[in-house]
This record gives sequence, C-alpha cells and structure tokens, in this order.
Amino acid sequence: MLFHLDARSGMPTYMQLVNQVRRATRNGTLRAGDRLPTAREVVAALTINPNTVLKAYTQLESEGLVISRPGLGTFIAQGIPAPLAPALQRQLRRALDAWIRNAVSAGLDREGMLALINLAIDENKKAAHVA
Amino acid sequence: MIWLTWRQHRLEGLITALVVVVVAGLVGSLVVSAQPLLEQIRHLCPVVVDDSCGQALMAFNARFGAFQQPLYLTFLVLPVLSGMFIGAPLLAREFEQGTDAVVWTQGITRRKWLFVKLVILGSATIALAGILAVAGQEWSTAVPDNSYSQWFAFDVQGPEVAAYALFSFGLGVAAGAAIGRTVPAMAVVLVGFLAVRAAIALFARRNFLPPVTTELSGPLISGQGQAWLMGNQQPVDMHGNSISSGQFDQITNACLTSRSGGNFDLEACWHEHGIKVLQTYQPAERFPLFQGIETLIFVVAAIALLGFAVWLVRRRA
Amino acid sequence: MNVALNACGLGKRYGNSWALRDCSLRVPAGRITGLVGPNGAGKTTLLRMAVGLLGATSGEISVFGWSPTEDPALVLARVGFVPQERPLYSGFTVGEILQLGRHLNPRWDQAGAAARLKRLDIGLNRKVAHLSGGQHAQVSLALALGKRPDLLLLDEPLSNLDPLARREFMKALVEVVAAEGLSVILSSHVVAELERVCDHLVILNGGRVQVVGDIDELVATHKLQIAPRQDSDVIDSDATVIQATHTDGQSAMLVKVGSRAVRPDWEVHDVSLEEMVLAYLGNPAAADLPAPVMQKAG
Repeated sequence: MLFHLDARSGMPTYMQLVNQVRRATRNGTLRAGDRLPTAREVVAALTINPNTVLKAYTQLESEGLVISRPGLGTFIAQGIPAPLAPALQRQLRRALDAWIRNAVSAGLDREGMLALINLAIDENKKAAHVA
Repeated sequence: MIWLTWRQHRLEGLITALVVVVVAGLVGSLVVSAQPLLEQIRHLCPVVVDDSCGQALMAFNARFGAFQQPLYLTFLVLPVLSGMFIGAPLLAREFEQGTDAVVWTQGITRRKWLFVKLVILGSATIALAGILAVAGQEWSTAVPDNSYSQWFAFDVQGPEVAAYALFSFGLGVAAGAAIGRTVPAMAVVLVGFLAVRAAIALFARRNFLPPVTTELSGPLISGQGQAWLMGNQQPVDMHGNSISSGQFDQITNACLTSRSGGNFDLEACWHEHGIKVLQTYQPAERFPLFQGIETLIFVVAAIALLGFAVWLVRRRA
Repeated sequence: MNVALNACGLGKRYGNSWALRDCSLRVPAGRITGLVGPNGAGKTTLLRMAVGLLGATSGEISVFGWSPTEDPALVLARVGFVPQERPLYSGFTVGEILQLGRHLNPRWDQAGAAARLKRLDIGLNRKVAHLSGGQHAQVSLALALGKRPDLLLLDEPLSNLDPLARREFMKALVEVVAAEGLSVILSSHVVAELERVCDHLVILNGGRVQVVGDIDELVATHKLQIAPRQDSDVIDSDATVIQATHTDGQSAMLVKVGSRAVRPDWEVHDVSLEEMVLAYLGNPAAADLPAPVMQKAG
C-alpha cells in the first residue's frame, strides 16, 4: 500500500490517508487481513507527523475498516464491504460517460462539472439527513 | 571537559609553550656560553674597580650586550600574548560563532565549563611564565653585578612574571566576556596590559615603600650594593642644607687631586671639607619585598578580572 | 495531557523593549509543535529561555516541571537544542563533535549517533568546515539527539538549506519521533515548511502569544466567509473577524467557526493553515487561546 500526499489539496493529511485506505479497499488493492504500513514506514516515505498516521488509523478503526493488534500491526478488518462488482462499476461508468457528453455540449468545463457534482452530492446528503 | 579544553586550545597552547621553551633555551645557552667571560670578571672585579676589571666588563658587553635589549623586550611582551591569544578568544570566540548556545546546552553548566577552562588555562599560563621567570633569574644572576642593578631585571624574574601572565590572561578573558568579539578584545588586552604594566613599573613601583634618603656610602657607581638609586646625588653641608654644584665640584676636584695612592676614601675627604652626599634610594634588601608587592597587585587584579568575567557570564542568563 | 513546556506570564526585556511579553502557553508532550511568527516575534527568545540560555525578566517557564535556570542539570539532561544557524566548531571533525557530546552529557548514545551519521553517509573523519549545508544540519541534529532527549528544540532549523536538504532533515526528524516518541518544538517564519510535519501550533506575534492549538482543529474551526459587501467599519470593529478584505461587490472574512451567524446566501470556504496564520499575523489584536491556565511551574 503506497500512500501519497497532496500538499495543496486543503484536505487534512490524516483525511487523505483515510480516504486512500477506503479507496484501496473498495477497488481491491487492499483486502481483508492485509497489513497496513506501520507509522514508521509511512513517516519514512512521506515525511509527515507520526501522530497523523495514528490519527488516520484510529479513524479507520472507529469506522470498523481496520483492526489494530498491539505488537503486530494494523490490519484491514474482515467483513468490509466488498469492492464494487465489475458489472456495477461498468454500469455506473456508462451513465457517467453519457452525462459528461451532455455537460460538455452544454458548455461546462471540468471546473463547472465538478462544481455541479459537488453541489449535487451535498444536496443529496442534506436531503438524506432530513429524511 | 578536560578533553574539550585541550582540543579547543591545543594549538595556541603548544605554540605558546614552544615560544617559551625556545626563549628559555636561548637564554640558557647564552648563560652557558658566557661562563668563561663571567669567570674572568669574578676574578678581576672585587669591590674596587680598576682597569683590567673594566676591560673584562667591556669584553662581556661587546659579546653579550646586544642580547640584553631584545631579550628584555621579549620578556616584557610575552605575557601580552597569553592574554591576547588564549584569554581573549576564550569567551569572545564562543559568542561570536554562537557555539556558546551549543556547548552550554549539553549536560554541563556554564559555571563548570568556565571553571575548568580557567583552571586549566590559568595553570598552564602560570607554569609557562614560571619557566620564563627561571630563565630570567638565571640570566639576571649571571650578568655581573657591576654592569647593572638587580632592579633593572625586576620584570624578568621572580613570581611577578607569573603574575603578569595571569593578569594578562584575566584581562583577556574579561575583555572577551564584556565585548563578545575576539579582535576588539585582543586590542583591549594589548593596550590595557601595556598601559597598566607601564603605569606600575614607572610610577607606582618606586613608591611601594617610601624611599630612603641617607648618605650612600661606598663608591658612587650605579648598582653598587644593588640599591635602586632615585634622582641625583644631593650634596649638602653638615646641617643638611644644599650646596651649589659649583661648590661641590670644587671640593671634589680638590679631593681627587690631593689623593695619595692606596685606598683613597673620597667620602672621608668630603667629611673633612664639611660636606656629605645624600642619595634617595630603595635599599637592596627591599628587592624581594617589592617583588612580593608587585606580584600581589597583579594577582589581585587578575582575580578581580576573572571574577568579573565569571559574573558577566552568569549575568548573560 | 503531559506538558513538555509550560510558560506562565513569561517576559523578557532588553533595555526598553520587550522581546517577550506576558507569554503563557502549554506545549503538550508527544507532539511536533510549530512555533511561527515574523522575525523578531520572540521565537528565539522563547526557545533560549526554555533551555536556560536566557533568564526571565518576569513570569516563569518550566520544562517537564523543572526550571531551566534553577535546575539546569535536570533540564539539560532531557532537552536537546539546535540553535539558529546551527553553529558547530568548524575546526572539529564530525567524530569530535560527537565526542564533545559524549564528554559533556551524563547520558549519551554514541552507537546510535554514529549509526545515524553512517546511514546518512557522513564520515566521522570529515571536518565540519567541509560538510555541505545539509550534512552540517544533520550533524547538528545528531549532536542534539545523542543525549536521547525527551524534548527537542530547533530554532529555524531549515534556514539556508536547499529543498532536498530540508526534506532530508525533516525526514530524519520525523523518523526519530516515530521511533522514540520525543516531543519537538521547531520555529520558523515560513509556515509551509512546518505544515507537513507539525500537529500543534503556536503563533507568536510582537512578543505575545496569539494562537495555541492543535493544527487540524485550528484549520477546521476557521473558515472564509464570502458575503455581499459589508460595511468595513462595522467589520473592522468586530472582534470575531480575524481578517477582512473588501471589493466593490463582496467582502471576504476569515472567522472562527461558531463565532458569527452565517446567512444562507453567503459562501463558506475552508482555509489553509498558511492563510489562517497570515490572517492572525496581520491582526495582532486577534487571538485563539485555550482557557487561561495559571499553573505554577515546577
């Protein structure tokens, strides 16, 4: 598992690590039982604060995504949601391609599309909470 | 800490030791090579001076006279070096380079750091000055009595030499502590040391004890009896009133022309004419006492300066 | 919370000016704390007082409960210091620098220090004067770490280092923190340098403490509000606005979350650490401090 850091993204470092682990489990890079790099290994690779790694791993553990075993390491938990089935992935992707074609012909550029998508996600989240 | 002191000061320490050893060796070899002439002089020059004694003295001066001045100056100047090159950089260099922040944040207090350095370097300074003083003593006792007074060799022998060196060292350390920069501190040492030494040697020393004014008996050759003669001879009458130099010359001439061989006593002749000659001087016997006083002055000054430096270092916090 | 450094009303005066004034803060142990502020803000003064090189004019400072001026031996045994410009004795070899550490410290890990330098390919026989800037910095770090301190103080450790040397220095630092868990306080006037590596922050401005806190928390609790043009006089006198810029149509205000009501037609953006720090530095009257703690040091 190779972590990377986007120093300019504005997202706190620990959140970036958390998201990268989440994404890796979803696309199958990390499977149940795999050991995450130790804090020392991540620190040596990225030159970040060791507490940041611990914070990320603690967050993941509270979400049930990983289990830490003292002396042994931090491992991807059993029973995590399976990666997205390839068929479902293809289906979502086709819908997305069509949408993108529409957006482009409507005159939206990348920023415009991303802004619209973010807005939609936020409003859908709000609606889900209210409901 | 001992290791650190050696490692930081080994170069200047070795150079100073080398210089001292070379100078002392030079003096030693001069003394040795002068022995034959000195033997001659000891045989030929009893209390009364006559021709053969004078010739032997002249031969001695011709051969060794040229060394006197340069050696004397070297002895005067060497203690300055200990202050300039060992004392001044001690604290000033640390402050200049910022290494005080490194060495005083290890596990040692600055008090202990300073104490060890001052003890080691101060002791080395005293020891090296001691070697120089011994050489000075050898040279001073070797040079025949008749050619000069022991008082002229006051600065090159005895415990005062170590005191000068310690004072120079203390001045350097204090200047370095106060100014915080090496080169200005060295300048302060140079000027300060020479000024203080000159002031004491030229003005204070003659008054350590009130000089004596009496009739100086014996031949009036400077250096006779190894007293420190001050000012001119004062011819006076039996009541103590001054007589004119014209009168004195007249009487002296009369005495000299009327002398009849054998042991001629100029002094008895003066008394017959009702005059005597007074001289203000410091007695020869006071020489060790004066050495002690001068040593004390410079040691006390050195301790005061070192104490001031210690106080300054602690006050920086 | 274990406290590595505790300052209470700390002040340092030189003649008529105060380098530090009424400085109260607690730096937690086990963190890498960044000390930021403009030149002359008092960062060097604070660090030098923590390590006993300077005495306080007023107030108190303690390190793990000990006073650096009254118990210097106890403090120096636990605190390593890399001074500004990383001075070393240039006539020494690298090995002699370590020997200096070995002779002057009651506890010294010679094997560890030598291994650290070997890993970095810095020969013990090299003269300090012949080292590159980055190597020189690593030797300074190795010297400070050799006594296995619990707290490491670094005064502008990255100044005059090229980007690669900076990264390698930071890497060495975080690796030892990951391995030993020591606390670190490092000062800089360049926020970007610290952002990657620090998880705690102290902002010093004009000799006073302006901000103390966990970095993630600080960034999360400060936002940029974009609103239609506000009355600048009203905004300027509003103590909850740390910084405001106005154009003809809009006002952008950097605020602490929860301190102001937000209207629905306003945009709210995240701020970067650097933006937040700059806003505070530009507004010396603003502050974000934990509740006052007047704990007696020691």
